[in-house]
Amino acid sequence: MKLRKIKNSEYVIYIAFALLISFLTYIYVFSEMKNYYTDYSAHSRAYLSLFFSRDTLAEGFMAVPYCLWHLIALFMYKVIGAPIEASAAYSAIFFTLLSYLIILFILNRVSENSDVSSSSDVFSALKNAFISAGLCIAQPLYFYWIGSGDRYSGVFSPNPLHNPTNMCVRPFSILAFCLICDIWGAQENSSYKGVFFKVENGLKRYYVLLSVTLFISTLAKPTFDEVFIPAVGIVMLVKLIARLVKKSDDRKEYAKNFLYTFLCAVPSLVFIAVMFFVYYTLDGNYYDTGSSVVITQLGEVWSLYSDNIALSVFLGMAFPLYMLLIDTRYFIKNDFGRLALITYVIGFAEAMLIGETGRKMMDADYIWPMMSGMLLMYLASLTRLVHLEKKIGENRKLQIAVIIGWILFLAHVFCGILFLKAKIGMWG
Amino acid sequence: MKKIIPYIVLAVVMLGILLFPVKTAAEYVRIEFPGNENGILKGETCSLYYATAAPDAFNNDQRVDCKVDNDRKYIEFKLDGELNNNIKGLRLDFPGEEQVFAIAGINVKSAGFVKKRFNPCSFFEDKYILKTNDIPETTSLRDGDIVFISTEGEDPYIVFTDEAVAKLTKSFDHFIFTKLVICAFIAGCFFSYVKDPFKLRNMKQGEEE
Repeated sequence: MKLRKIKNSEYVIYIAFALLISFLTYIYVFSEMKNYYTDYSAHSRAYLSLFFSRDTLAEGFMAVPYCLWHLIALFMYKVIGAPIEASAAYSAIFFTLLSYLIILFILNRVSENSDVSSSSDVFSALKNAFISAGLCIAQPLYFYWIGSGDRYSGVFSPNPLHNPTNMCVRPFSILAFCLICDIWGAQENSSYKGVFFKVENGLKRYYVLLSVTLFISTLAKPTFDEVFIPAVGIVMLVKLIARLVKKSDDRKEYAKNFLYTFLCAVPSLVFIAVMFFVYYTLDGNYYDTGSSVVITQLGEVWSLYSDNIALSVFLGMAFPLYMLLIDTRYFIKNDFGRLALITYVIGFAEAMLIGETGRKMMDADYIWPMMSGMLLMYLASLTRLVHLEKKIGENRKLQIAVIIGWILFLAHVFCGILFLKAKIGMWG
Repeated sequence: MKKIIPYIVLAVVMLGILLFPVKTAAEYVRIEFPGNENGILKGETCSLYYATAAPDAFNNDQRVDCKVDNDRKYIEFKLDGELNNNIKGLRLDFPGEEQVFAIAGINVKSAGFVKKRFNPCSFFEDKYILKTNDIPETTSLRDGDIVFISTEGEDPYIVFTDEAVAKLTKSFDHFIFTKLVICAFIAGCFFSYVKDPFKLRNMKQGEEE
């Protein structure tokens, strides 16, 4: 893997889009903080205050053991001395920018990796910056006239912007996704050159990086790891079984790699177990004590918010579903596509079958993991589209197929802009 | 033979989806108010009574309420899927206030789709109204497709005729279209996999098998 030197003109474009999404995030968080019944208000005013003094610190950790966002906001509030609204906004900007930069890095790497240079650096930078910023705000398709519900509830989103902790997990989930794909490449082929990381120089440091990334994402919110770790496990287990059945020469080597990869997830799994213990067994969640996790009827929790789950899936996932439809083989055969699809399917199954008892059922907390899967599907679809665009050549039908893909993605971004406008207009 | 197996599996999956038992979706009757001062409705609650035994056998056990929220500009009543083919009469109750308000539209939705939209001027014609109480007047403003309804007394309501009831209650969704779309999508993915239109054009992240 060889990193290209970025030109000054490209930096200007990247910074301009970074400023734009920072500005949007800032005014969005401020508008959310004006209403007491928003997630930003709840996390900033109710939960964050528990971290203010040593007496309530333990209570704070038990209420929100996934406290990365709170710790950053706490730093802004206590050390920088910013007011609570500004602290919330700065924390949100920090994580949004991190997501933007990681997505930008991925797109640049995929573009360079496609080996075809058909556009100028400036145009390419402009396009990648726009797509990265777009992916940070993309929302489900919303048509007020078809009666499918509101912009978020029931349909759900790859970017639940209203929820600070879910936005906090986003950059780490994207990073872990790219890391594992490169690690897999190097595990299976010694001559593999990493797309995103220099895995050809040895995997040790990347195992450590993966472990740290997974742990931080758990500290941000365990929802991503709840789907990602099982998805990675399933893919690797199937590959291991296939090798054992075929009696491949590299089966022992692969079993060793499987173990190393599993060990990367151990700190996160232990931390998730601790979280579940304090949350459910010790009733750390003072909002509704006594709730527990249960297997529900098919779609029971989701149905509280949607009259037609299939329609909701279509509206939330129109762009990735379209990519899945036109390029199914990519989502079955390629590591990047396959992992995204399996992560989404596991998240979907959790959303359809797991819920909590009591008042917490209405919170639909086990739909969050699916939203992490949605994000990975968007990311895999986008990188595929960027790649295909450079490879299809003069084939008119494929060109049209790619253009429709872009239109769908832009429709999601457009709905994201309308979402922000509606929310800021509502509280602003 | 080996080549046919995937097609058989596809057919079985599609058949399974089509035959998968799902409950009839609930139906929502929405009455919309214009976005101006005429759309203000005084009072707290509107109700929709549904009769299942006889067209005019209304009782409090068979009633859905909707709180008046003038910011929303509509009231909406949910009729559970079990009521499909069982509703014989409908009675729409307005708040017990002396007022004149406007209705700009009526629509019926089920399973996330708006199934029918009715022009209020047509819907509140005499032929669709069986009986009114404490409603001295309904006036249609044809040009604007708006109906003005004046209410007085404590119990203003409209009882609809069989024809109107049939119009409002024949839209319960059975998810047939949804199932067909799911089947079409799965079939599309299957054939996309077989045809491989992009020939899995060598993307380097991860090994292709």
